[in-house]
Amino acid sequence: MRELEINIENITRVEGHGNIVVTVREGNIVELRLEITESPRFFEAMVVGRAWSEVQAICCRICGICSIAHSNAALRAVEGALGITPSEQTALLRRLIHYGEVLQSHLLHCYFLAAPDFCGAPSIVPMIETHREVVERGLRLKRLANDICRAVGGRHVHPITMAVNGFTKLPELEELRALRERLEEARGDVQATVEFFAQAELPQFAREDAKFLSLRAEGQYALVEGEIATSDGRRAPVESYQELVREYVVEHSTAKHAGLGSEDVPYAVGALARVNINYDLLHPKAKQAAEALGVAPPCGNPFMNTRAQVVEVVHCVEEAIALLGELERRGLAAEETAVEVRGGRGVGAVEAPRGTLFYDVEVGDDGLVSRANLIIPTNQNLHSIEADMRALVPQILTRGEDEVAHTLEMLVRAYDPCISCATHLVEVHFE
Amino acid sequence: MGVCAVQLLRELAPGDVELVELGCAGPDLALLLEGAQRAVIIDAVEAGRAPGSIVEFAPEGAPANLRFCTTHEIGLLEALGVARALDKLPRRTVVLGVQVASTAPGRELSPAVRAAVAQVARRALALARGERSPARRPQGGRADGR
Repeated sequence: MRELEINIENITRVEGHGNIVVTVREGNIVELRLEITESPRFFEAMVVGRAWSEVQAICCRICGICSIAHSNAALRAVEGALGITPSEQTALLRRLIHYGEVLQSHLLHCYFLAAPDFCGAPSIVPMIETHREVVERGLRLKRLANDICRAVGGRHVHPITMAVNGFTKLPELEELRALRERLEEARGDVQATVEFFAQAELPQFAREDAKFLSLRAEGQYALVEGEIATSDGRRAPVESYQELVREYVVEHSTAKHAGLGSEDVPYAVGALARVNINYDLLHPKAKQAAEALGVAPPCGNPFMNTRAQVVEVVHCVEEAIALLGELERRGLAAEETAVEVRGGRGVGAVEAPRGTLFYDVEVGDDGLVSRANLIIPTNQNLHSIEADMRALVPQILTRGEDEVAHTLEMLVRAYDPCISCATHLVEVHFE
Repeated sequence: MGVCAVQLLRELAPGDVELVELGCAGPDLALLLEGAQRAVIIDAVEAGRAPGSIVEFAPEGAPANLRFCTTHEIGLLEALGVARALDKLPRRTVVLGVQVASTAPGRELSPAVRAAVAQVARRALALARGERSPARRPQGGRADGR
């Protein structure tokens, strides 16, 4: 087939709203774009003029799936601006709730957004009729992940206990012990998850020059801190993120795109990027899962991002079990969380489930935010998604139009985009 | 709007009514509803009516032209469909939709929607206490959350 016209409005089973437009004439791509049509969210402008203490509470509302990642990044940025180093207890609890959210998000994506494709179902409800046990397992695991977040954050989404320099309320040790036991019991379900996704067929595709970016830290699979690292060997402290990550506006999208360095090279963030860059630091059981799932760096197939997420599910379950044990041994104690306000700039970067999330916040001496810049994982992936589509379309051009359209939707879904997070503009004036 | 309604209900609701500010619907809704005798869900809707109007319906009887103003996860009706398919949907589940004036970003509720918050909260409380909903399944049509 040398002629093709694809116009998919409102891609299904992704978070948010986007369209795929591909036109091919005489075998040449004349038009190709991922249109993001989501309304802009204005969060960067919304925090300007607000107090340092409000940034986390406002920005965690950007998203209902990655609100904890937004919280952790916002808190690190504000603490950096105010010159605060939180306690080890705070750092451990923030890492624990971060594991909970990575589990929540990955399980949601794998079981409820991606799995229907692997079960021959158009969506979840028909999938329940043919694969009820699979859906029930996904829900069981997600309930456990939700409960980790609720125990530490006060509720399973939009946490209410996370604050600058600490927590407004600590979990009970008994709660943490019960969570650890439930996680240990869940290992059977986790193994079944690995087996299910290992047998799911994926398109074989990889763009030759695909590049990846994530955080990397010494001695630990970086999720809540680290320096910026790329698959082609670049490194930078997070404070210098703008040297590596260049955001820009594109006409066909209400979400900005990003490119690597001055060359505007597309790159991907997310689970596959993290596994590619930090494979050596995965928990041993996660490495076993990676082997079973066929995930081995360097992996440039974006469809494998879903399997990389399963690898991270194993990693986070095991790391959470170990961390809960450590917290039980240490105990928890009320801590001083007072803050001395001063002006400054802080950059916080974490690995949200979907990829590297940057918060750059400036606070005045009056404690009010004077400037904020947020770079969202999905913004960074949009350029890479389009580059992948451009490379993939010629390879599948001879297939039927329906199959081409479905494959392109699967490609976008594999990135697990959070389109609502990605749509924001820099300059907005509220009267 | 839903957040404001739940905040009001915290002052009004008796102890055996569990209030949850869910933010947005998802497959988790099935977990939340499991074991409940009755469920009332409050959400913003676009139903082509005057701002502040309240539509009341059972999940399987949603008006065909109804849209839920959500950007996250799966739509509310699909989430309720998951709950039903997994036998976790309470037999008496009612959705109360409040017609929005606008879905553009802003800092305040519109006056019409703000005025509807108390009304929808009172209706939700009555339903939670056992009052029967007159909502019926319409002839034909399909509630698919779109």
